[in-house]
Amino acid sequence: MANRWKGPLVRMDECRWRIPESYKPGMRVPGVIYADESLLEAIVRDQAPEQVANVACLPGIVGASLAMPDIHWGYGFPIGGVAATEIAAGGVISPGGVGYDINCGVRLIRTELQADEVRSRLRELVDALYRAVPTGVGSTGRLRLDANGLKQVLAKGAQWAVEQGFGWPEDVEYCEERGAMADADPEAVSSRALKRGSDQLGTMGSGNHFLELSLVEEIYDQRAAAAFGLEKGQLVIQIHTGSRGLGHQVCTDFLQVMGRAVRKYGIELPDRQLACAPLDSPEGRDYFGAMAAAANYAWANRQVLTHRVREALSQFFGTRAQRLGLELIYDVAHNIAKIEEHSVNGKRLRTCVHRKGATRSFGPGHPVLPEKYREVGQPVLVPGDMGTNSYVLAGTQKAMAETFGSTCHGAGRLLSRAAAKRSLRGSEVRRSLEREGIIVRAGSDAGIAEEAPDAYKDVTAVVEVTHRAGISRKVAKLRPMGVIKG
Amino acid sequence: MNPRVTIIEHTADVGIEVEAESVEELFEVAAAAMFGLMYPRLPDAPTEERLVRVEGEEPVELLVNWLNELLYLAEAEGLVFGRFEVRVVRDVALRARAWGVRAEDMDPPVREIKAATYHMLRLEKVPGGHVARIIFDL
Repeated sequence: MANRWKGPLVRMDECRWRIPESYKPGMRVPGVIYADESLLEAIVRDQAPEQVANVACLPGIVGASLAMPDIHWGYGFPIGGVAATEIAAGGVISPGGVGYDINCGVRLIRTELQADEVRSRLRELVDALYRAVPTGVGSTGRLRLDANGLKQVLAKGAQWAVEQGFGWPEDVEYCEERGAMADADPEAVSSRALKRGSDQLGTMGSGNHFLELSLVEEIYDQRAAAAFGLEKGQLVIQIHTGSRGLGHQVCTDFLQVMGRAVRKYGIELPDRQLACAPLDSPEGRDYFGAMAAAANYAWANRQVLTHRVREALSQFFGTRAQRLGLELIYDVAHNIAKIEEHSVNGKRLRTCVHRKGATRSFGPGHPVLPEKYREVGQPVLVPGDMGTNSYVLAGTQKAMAETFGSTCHGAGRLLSRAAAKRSLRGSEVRRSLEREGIIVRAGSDAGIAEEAPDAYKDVTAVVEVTHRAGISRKVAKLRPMGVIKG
Repeated sequence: MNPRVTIIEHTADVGIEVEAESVEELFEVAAAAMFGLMYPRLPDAPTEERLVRVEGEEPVELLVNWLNELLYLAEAEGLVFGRFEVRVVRDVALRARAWGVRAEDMDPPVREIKAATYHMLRLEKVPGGHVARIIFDL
């Protein structure tokens, strides 16, 4: 049902295309899309560029409405969209700029194991992890929390999990925001959202969420790889999930609140899904507090899952997790809004940066980065789709200057889920992956087809554009060995 | 107008277009279609019944709130609904009954729907009935 987008695109340089501010009434800044010619061809096949232009209409937006090369058509914001609003100038926060899966994100765990050491027992290892990690729609975990317990999770994030024994004290150091946004306001989270979150902590959920055992196949930047603790041939583990039903409910609740706020503050928008309120308003502050609380739930969730993975591997190999070197490399959020300072036209501004399907890419020297990474930039984790490579990148100064410290988040969907399922049968996808030596465990074959590699853009092409554009730098390529799909 | 549902494709998500003679029927058909996207075979011998009350500031918001209320009930209480009876009051409020079964008595769903969105949302009166379009976030 998607029509080809026919608006104007002006080439700025090798990897950037501008949608001029004059394209439609209401645009306050231009749109800028990061892509090469072949990715751009896929991008204009649907209305994602129109959404970039729509986001440029948000009150208080500064710089440009940005789109990363993995951009695809979302609702309201495009997936792969980045927008910063100036808080002091009435800049807005929009739940549509974060999405339903608040703080959907990725973490990467290193090991002291060589991939070759586990190859002969790979299937058993994947099965052991599958048993340890609850997956699928509405999956519930072993933890049951009452409202008070949950509010602790919402306030303290990954730190809560560590205090309960789910992890090591140093883990929080290697999460964005140290695994908890300080502005979280558990009281702004509805009782319905709490109810949905009460039994889902420590679960992966479904959709494109996954746990993956990967091999470090190639190193591009030796110095950064060494700082991250990565070397060729090593086995590493990725966890991709978010805030589950609690986050979905926070988004649903606040889209209603923001719908009313739009009328109250007289905000004109081209798309209702962009509903928003000034961050410095009761509605804006409440949403930010609730979103931050949901983000903290997601960090706690990935932390509990990390503990389950450590337990399972420790049992499988009959040794302590510490001896296996199962250290957290980093944990990134790719659906989130944050208050950050950025330079815009030579002025330092306090902004609300929305990253919807985009990853923070803070460069070397940034004070919020862990000491270990301060010279090379933050690790940026870019998962591929099931069966293709993932990448570890490093943040750059150029991202600080051009993209509010942001880069891509993944491969970007190419086929609709229905089209993917029609053209690809889950069982065939599974067999073809197994021929390549990749073991897949999933609740349903239909789910495998929806998330099959051919449904996505080539992650390598996406990453290459960010590397050439300089908004992140290639550090290592990971190749999947075993995938547990949510 | 006989009730009709068409599944529509969207790059990241999936949606439905629904036609029905009355608004009430349209809401019922939309709800069944939404659960049908998650569970290809809907429950036919319900063991659970829930009363649902929903409000919205305008009819389209009522439609979105109705579907999101059902998603909430389904997840919070572990239910799968398959049959609905809706009574719309003054365009902006509804009372309904929903029948279904416990989720553990069903095969696992083929996909998760996070929410009904406002994206490309449509609810209109047309000659002979009503039509609606809803895109779901998966």
